Amino acid sequence: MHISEGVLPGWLLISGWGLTAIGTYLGLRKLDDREIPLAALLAATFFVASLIHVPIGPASVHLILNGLAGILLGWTAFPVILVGLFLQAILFQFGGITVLGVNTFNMALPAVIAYYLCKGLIKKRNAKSLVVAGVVAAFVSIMGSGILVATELLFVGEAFKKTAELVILAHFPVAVVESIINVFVLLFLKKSTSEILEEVK
Amino acid sequence: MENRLSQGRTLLHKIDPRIKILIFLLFAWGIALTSDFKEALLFTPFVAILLMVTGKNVLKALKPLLFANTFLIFIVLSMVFTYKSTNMIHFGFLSLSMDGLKYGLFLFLKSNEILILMLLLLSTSSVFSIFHALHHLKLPDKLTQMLFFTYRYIHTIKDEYDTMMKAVKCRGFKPKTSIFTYKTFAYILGNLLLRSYRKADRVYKAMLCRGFRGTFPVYTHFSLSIRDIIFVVLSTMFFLAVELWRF
Repeated sequence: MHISEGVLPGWLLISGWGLTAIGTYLGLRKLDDREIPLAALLAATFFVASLIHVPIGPASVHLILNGLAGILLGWTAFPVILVGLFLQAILFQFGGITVLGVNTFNMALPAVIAYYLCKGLIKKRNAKSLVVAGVVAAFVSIMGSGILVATELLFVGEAFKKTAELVILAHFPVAVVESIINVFVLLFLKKSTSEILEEVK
Repeated sequence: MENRLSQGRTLLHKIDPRIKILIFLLFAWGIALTSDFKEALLFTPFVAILLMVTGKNVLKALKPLLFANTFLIFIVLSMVFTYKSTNMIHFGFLSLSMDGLKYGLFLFLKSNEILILMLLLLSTSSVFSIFHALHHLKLPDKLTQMLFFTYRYIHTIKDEYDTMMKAVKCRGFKPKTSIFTYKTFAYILGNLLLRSYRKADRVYKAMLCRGFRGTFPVYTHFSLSIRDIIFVVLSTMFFLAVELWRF
């Protein structure tokens, strides 16, 4: 969920940008020239994926896939998510520029945590560990983002307590849908092109 | 997918994108850091003047802002219904808080001022010239190149996605809440990822063939005109006037 402009206090906006800058620096440092087009194409793919609305009951949710991005990209998830959210901000006015740091951090930090939790499982490359990795990545990244957004709202004021609870609740169905999608994507990649999973360092 | 207002010939379209980015950042941070309703209101004349300069076609572009605002409406409503204050108004089981409403409106005003400025200052240039300007404003090279490539390939990948969706629809696929639906979407995504990996390899080889050495050459250059300088001076004066008013 994007936090909009003008809601968060200044110190949160500035520390969000600071943390995102550090993450992006670490992500770019590990990225050599050969990998720039790859990172950009994956950013474009995740951008398109975020436009996909998947039905769930009577409603529909849009995919976030930061867990999958984390598994495939590691720390490079930071610049990739930063680029994606920046484009959403200037093309669709979703989110905004002063909150871009906070929004990127909210999605990229859980992605990096998911990467460290799952990379061992991905290396084993049998079906069972891929299933576990998909579910873990989805829950850690989506619920992690939800918890970060909720915590930031609590920092704004006690009045946001209800809103914060609602935010965490709203992330739960997304995590369930995404864990199923992650599992099938990972199994598909294993079947069709196992070199992509081999590249996960 | 291009910026909403990038086609046009108003004054704002003619101003150097570097200047527009800097002025936007100045005002966006200025507005985001206000904690006082009056001060946030003082910024509205600036937004209104820019809106008038850009004219009618802005109104069309403002409509999508309603959708961007769903998070905000959610926040404002939750403020009105859950804020605890002394001056509550009761309607049966509903109790509205005036302080909550005031605070909600304050957030709503700040957010919309920044969004409209973003639309007016950043969306009046093409996306590529914004990236080019960011490069001049010392954004790291790798990040600028990623922005270029990402924006370039969003269209290609969206086309591939649309083709695959058309194919599954031809085979009678209807999205429902079922494992089969999720599996279909996952396989489509898996295919998109796979194609991205393959394409990235070809793109890099093509770059090498064209002698890539870590930078992109550009053939158009920005230059500051008198108009740009007048715009900077007037905007900065307005900004300083609002900021000094406070003291």
